[in-house]
Amino acid sequence: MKKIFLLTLSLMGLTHSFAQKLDSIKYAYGYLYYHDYGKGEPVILLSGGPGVSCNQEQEVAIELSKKYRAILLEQRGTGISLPEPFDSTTINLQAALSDLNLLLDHLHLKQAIFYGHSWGGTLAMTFATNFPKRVKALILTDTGPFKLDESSKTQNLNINARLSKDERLRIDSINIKEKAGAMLEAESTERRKLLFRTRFSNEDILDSVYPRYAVGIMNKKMAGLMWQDLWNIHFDLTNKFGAYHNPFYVIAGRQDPAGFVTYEVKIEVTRAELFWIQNCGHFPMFDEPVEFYKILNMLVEKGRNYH
Amino acid sequence: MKYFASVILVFFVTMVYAQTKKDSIYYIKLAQPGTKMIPVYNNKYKVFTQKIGNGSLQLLLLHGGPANCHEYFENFPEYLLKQGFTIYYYDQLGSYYSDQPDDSAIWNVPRFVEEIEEVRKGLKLDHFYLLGHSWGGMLAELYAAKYQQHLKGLILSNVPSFSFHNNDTLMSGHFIDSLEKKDASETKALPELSKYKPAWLDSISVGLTLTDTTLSNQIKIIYSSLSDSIMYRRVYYHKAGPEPEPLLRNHRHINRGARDKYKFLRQVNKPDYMKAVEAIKVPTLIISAKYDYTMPDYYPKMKERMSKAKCRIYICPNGSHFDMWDDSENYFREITRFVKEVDKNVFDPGK
Repeated sequence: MKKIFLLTLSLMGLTHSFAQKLDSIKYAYGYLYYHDYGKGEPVILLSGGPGVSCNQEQEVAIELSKKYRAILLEQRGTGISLPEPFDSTTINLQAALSDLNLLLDHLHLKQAIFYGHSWGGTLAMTFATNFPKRVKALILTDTGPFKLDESSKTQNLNINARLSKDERLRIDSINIKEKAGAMLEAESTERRKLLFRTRFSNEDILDSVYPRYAVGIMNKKMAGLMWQDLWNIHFDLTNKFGAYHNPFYVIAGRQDPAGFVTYEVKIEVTRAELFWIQNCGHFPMFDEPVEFYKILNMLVEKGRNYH
Repeated sequence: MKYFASVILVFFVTMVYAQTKKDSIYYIKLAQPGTKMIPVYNNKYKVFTQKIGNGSLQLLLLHGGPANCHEYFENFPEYLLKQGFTIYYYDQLGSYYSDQPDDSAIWNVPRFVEEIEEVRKGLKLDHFYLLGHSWGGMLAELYAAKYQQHLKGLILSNVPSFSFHNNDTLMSGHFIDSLEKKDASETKALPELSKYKPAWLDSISVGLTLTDTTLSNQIKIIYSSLSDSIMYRRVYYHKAGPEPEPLLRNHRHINRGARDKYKFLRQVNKPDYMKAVEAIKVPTLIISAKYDYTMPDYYPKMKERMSKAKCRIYICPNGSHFDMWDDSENYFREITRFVKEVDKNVFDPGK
């Protein structure tokens, strides 16, 4: 009990003492918000989902800001970056790419290092293949897929395999209630917690880590619209990586249920450098922070010095 | 055992609170860096604050309402951060991001003034700039009269000028009447209402009921929503096109329940604002807009009363009550000019 208390306290101190500023960019559909931490080599951080608020990558930004400038974008449709109107005309892959260009222009940056976690990795890869000159280096962490096929099914199978029978039944019943529009807030949290466990390797710190993960609140509307767009455009980056020549790094947890994507990336982009972390799931920043930050800092440094 | 007791307490507290239902944005905001919950009212409750930017010009914002929230200030960073400002958002007690206790004692104007002082201490501010918008402006006047030693400058934004003329109810009454008359005649002329007899509409527009109650209620609902939107576009958001998202979000988050339960709106006009502004000595900018319902024509009289303070009046030519949104360029240019001049000690209200 005491330990947890201390941890929360020290964390609070951490978030308050770091120099950061929240700023916004005005665009046709309202405001796009971003957090700007520290000084030095700019690194753009993209959070997962799609639809998860950028708060989830806050700790990564704080860690990077000790040596670099970390810019954490609240992607369109997540957090408080809510576009007006909020529909398929404003939430799609093209819009997400144009926001990244907008962010770089607004910050007067010709190019930057891109860090992407999960869906953020998918978005960063897409941006790198479309605008190769604007990406100085790609650092993907437990990246999402670069094409839409059976991969979502594979991930679900991996997740299912890690759930007990009771847990699976419970999730099914909550899913049914959700479809009927009768899901309670507590049930939504319960399901998120159950699924969170499967993406994690170190069981003993799950409870203390969950709140740090859960600050990244999911905007389901954004997620739905983005997935719909990806299916509509038959999202597939196969044979398109040739345009991008700068460094390509992938960090991944060995126990990540979506870890197979990292292999697929390596098959497609043979020059990609992989960095595996043992005893680690989908969130290395929470699961194995020491190892993760060691690799991440090393890669940012490598990317910074690349010519 | 101790742990158990705290659980019981938490449960009890949640029972007592009558909170507005929280959406995901609430939790996202609270988890953002720069946010700080500050204890107020003898440490009984907490209020939300958020620091944005690292500039040398510190500006604390008081929102209107009462019981709106800081969200409609969300375009301040866009205009002011590059000018060297640090912006402090703050939700008054009872507003969306702060505690919302079901406690009649918090709905008290002097208590809100003391709350600002508690927030100032909590944020460790001294010699800062204070901007109060609408009801927040009325609060800022009372605060400045009592604690102006901490202020470098005061910005009264879109503050209702008739609060200085409690005795002159006729004046504000006439103004509101004329607005409502205009509103009624425009509403009645709308095509959506053309299928109803003009006599029915006349009755509904002055608050009468028709003998056919079903029809009466039906017309009332359509009429009031149309008339509200006309009034809204006239005096609150004057610009064409869709309303900005943060402004809409603010409207969604207004805590009308508690405010109206304890009839707070009746209380806000009671303090002697005239006496308060007479006591103000710090440089002041009175900023408002041409189309605002706050009667900008009355500000010169207010300025006369503020004989101890250097005071400038600026009226945004294209804006209304939320002029930071519908006349942003003029609004922020004037605020920046005022604060920078005061900071360099070259403020001349005549210019």
